[in-house]
Amino acid sequence: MLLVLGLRWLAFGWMLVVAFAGGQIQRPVEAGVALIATGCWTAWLTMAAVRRMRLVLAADLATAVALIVGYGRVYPAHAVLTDHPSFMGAYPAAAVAAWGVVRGIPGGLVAGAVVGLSLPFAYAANEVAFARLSFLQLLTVVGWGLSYVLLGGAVGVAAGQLDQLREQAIRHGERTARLAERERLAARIHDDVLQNLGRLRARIGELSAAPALAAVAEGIARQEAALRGLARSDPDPVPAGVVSLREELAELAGRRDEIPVRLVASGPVRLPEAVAADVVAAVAELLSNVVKHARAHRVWLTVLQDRSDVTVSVRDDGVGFEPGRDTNGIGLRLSVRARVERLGGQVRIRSRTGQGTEVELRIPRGRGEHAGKSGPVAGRRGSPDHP
Amino acid sequence: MPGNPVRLLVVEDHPITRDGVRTALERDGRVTVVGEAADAPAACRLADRLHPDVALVDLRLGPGAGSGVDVIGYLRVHWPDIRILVLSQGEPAEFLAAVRAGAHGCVSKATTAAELTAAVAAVLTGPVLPADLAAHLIGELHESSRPLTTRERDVLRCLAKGYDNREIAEELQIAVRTVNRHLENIRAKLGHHRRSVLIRVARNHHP
Repeated sequence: MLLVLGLRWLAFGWMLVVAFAGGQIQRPVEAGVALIATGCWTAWLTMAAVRRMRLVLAADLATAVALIVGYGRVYPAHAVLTDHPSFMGAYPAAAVAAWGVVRGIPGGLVAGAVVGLSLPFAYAANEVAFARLSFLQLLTVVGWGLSYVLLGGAVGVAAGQLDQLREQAIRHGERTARLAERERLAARIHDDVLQNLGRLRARIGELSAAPALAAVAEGIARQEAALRGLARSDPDPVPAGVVSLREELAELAGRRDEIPVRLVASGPVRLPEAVAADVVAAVAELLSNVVKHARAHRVWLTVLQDRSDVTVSVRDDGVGFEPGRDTNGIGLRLSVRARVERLGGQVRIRSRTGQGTEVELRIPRGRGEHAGKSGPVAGRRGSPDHP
Repeated sequence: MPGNPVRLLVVEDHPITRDGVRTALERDGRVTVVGEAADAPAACRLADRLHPDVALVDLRLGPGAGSGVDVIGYLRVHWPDIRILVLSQGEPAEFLAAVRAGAHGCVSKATTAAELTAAVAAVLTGPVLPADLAAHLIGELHESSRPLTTRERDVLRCLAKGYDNREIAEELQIAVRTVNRHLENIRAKLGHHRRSVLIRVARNHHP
């Protein structure tokens, strides 16, 4: 904005120079009025804290048009056809630039077009009949008009980019602050809370090896993991419609206190909400199966993200079963296979008597990622960035 | 080594954790804790005097007590035949730092007594990589110029699913010794990996 004001004063100075040094002015009274009015307007813009931006922009554009048309009136007839300097050429450009800064590309283009379209009136006021203009003279008028439009557009683009840069800088600053805060919290969690939780868990281990107590210890271990995860989770806000499969499964595992579930993940593993919900429901069914049938001591729940797909495996150390036996119980068929196949994935079951069971769900990422990519864009456009 | 318990040096600054480790390991008689150190200088002195089979080292030794990584460096130079097992909070970035310093294995503080005993026994014959680190490596290293072979990735996958070395051997139909060789290769690659890659991996995890 300061830059535009500076340009405006330059333009006004140029007007004064041309008016007094250039001579040629036919109607000194009207020229003086125009000069004084422009000077006052520029001074007011400089001093006043502009509140009603819309009104001011409109007035500014009106001034620009008035100056252009007045130019034809103040100068001797047919002056517009000469290439003598006019004292009104630069100031309208400043108005167009102001529109570009405040209203972006569309504002700049519209203001440029309005000023450009006022040129014929300047010609009329200068007693030049449009019909008698030569082709080249017409081209000059059109080019002059277009130059205002281009100026508005260019300033709009530049202003937009400046705004983006500033926003980026602000966001970066916020992120740095968030990171510092996170570091501080992480240190506290590590030095204090995690040590105490670890001690509690060790006590429980010393008390007894009963499965119920092991499950309590595993519950504490999950709290430790959750606290650690808190400190290292992604500091950037997760886009709308996308969730972290690791967090969702951690929550699911936390609800299961009949059996210790050890969750291992290669990362947060971002999936669209609907896909993640299906995967979590399938895993919930598998865990229920383990509790009901496997007589297992512990369960490993592993989430691995690879180039092409996400693999979730549920493995227990229970009794297992003979391969070849009918494994398509209704739960497995409906809740697990149907869900995973709906996502375009595959289910693989491996088991041997006494060797535990492993069920592996393989979900292609291609589809998930596609949906996930449209999510963030829509989310960013739809919601204003954190204030 | 049946009948011949593994001689262990514990380097850990929290007395309660030290006690817990001792109780957990000595329960089944396969391991004897021959020394306990709370800071880095004491750990180095004890290692010189006792020459244990395995050193169990906590990476964070608290303010003024030196760092676990220093202890690992000292042991690697002066006692290259002492096997080093790192005990840590279980963050992949920490594990990576330890392996880079020359540790032979890592266990998370979230392990059970049985897992800890198994890890101490296993580190004598080969590297011990925890499931979290295995999963992390699969997630992080799959894009960066593929430094791991398919077989090594298979081994990592199995580790992430909680298999022990014997089960991995069975699953991949290879010898336990071959599993150890793959693990050793992975460890070596992590240790000598270009620093920039490791920094990126660590940063991705600690954004």
